[in-house]
Amino acid sequence: MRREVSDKSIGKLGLARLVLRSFYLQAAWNYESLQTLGFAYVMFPVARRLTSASAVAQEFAARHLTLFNTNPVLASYIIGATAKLEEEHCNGRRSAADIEVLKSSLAVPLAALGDRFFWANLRPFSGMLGVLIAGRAGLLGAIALLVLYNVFHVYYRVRGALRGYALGAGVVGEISKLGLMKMSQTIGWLGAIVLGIMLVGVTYAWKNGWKREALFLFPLVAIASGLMPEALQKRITEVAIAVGVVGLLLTAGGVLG
Amino acid sequence: MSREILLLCLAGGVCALDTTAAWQLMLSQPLVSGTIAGLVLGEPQVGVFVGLVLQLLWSSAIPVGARPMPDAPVGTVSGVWFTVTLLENNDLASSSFCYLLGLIAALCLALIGRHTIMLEREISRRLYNRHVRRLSDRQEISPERVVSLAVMVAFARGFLLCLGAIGMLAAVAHLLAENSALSMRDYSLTLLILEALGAGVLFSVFVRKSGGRLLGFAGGIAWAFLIMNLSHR
Repeated sequence: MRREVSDKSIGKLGLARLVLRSFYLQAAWNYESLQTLGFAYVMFPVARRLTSASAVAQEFAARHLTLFNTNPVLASYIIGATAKLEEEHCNGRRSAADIEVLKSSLAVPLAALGDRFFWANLRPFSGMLGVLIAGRAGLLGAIALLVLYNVFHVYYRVRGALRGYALGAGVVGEISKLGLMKMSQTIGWLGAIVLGIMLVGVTYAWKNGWKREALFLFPLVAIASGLMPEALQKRITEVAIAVGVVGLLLTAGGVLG
Repeated sequence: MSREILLLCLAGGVCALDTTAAWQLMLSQPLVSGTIAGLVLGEPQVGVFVGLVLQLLWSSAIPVGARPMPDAPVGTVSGVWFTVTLLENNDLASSSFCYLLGLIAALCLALIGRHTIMLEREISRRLYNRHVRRLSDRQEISPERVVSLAVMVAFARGFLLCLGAIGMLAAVAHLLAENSALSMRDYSLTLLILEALGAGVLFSVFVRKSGGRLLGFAGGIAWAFLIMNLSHR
């Protein structure tokens, strides 16, 4: 059955609500439905804007209760594009199946890109830079961590929703232009420099007779450099690692006294 | 003090919320949550130090997929409180020993907190199933109420866990302050054994060949003796 063509839109306010709600995408994360309920929550204002009919809203809600999981930051590209497609569906220009196809086809590549950039590169790098600054300037370390991470985090959340909404189904082509792989490499190099500075600090401590400090700091820096994930692949339990870490922390007794 | 504890628990709840359920602005990172806890307690430097060490330890832990993470914010906030309390109340222990106990408490609580994250996810799963049922029965279309409930559960978990942890640690701090036998000197042998054990386990993690754990323990003991030898100079 062909739907009647109309010209309904979620408007700028609706788009702003999508961006704000995208921060709650993982609010009800669980092993059965992953981000599904959060996605339905983010999208629901779109249904409110586009229809007042209860049956259509129910159909909308059920459509977005299918399994969904991706990187929470880059999910905003899918959120924006889905909102556009919902608009087009409501206006009779697109089928509901297209929306499902878009969601499922984008979720996996965005998860791969986003998890690598945000979780494996940016987050540890921000943390290490924060630690480096905190070692010299105390409170500024935490501020540096928050600022560095959130500049990228908030930018991609907002840009994703705006570009996704502007491009609709065409957002698929946008993903290859994100440049996140190159930025991941750059952050990897910068991370190596930060670790290098830390190791210089350890060497400096050793050369100046602070051997206990150096012995304490070196394993921590080694752990931070990414050896731990490798260890986890060998199925060593985190309890065993925690015992190891406690052993290293015990050296803090000598360092801090 | 009760006002400070309330503020700390609120901070713990907000940071726990930031871990997965909302925002993900990295307030949950140990360096940030430790600094916040330190500021609340009027000892920012203590908070920064505890947060800094825990940040390095957990910097490689990646919250991808279904992997349950140690509950870093709750551990860090409670660990900072414990360290500050020990530094204020325990005249017998040196400051280094107070930091040490604070860090161990933070690690233990983070591991305990991980199990409560699983409980939180189970509650979210039940909320999801309930919503699906209500939607198919046409009783409730909007997922807003269910998601608000899930957010409240995440906050309450962090808040209550911090409250419980601080209550438990207060009893330990009281015990340590009362017991005059708990001096730094009495702990030296325990420190040596734990240090060897800990460093040994950590070494063995990175040794790939068979018998690596044994080699690791041997290396750990050697490491511990090296550190103890240096500390006696």
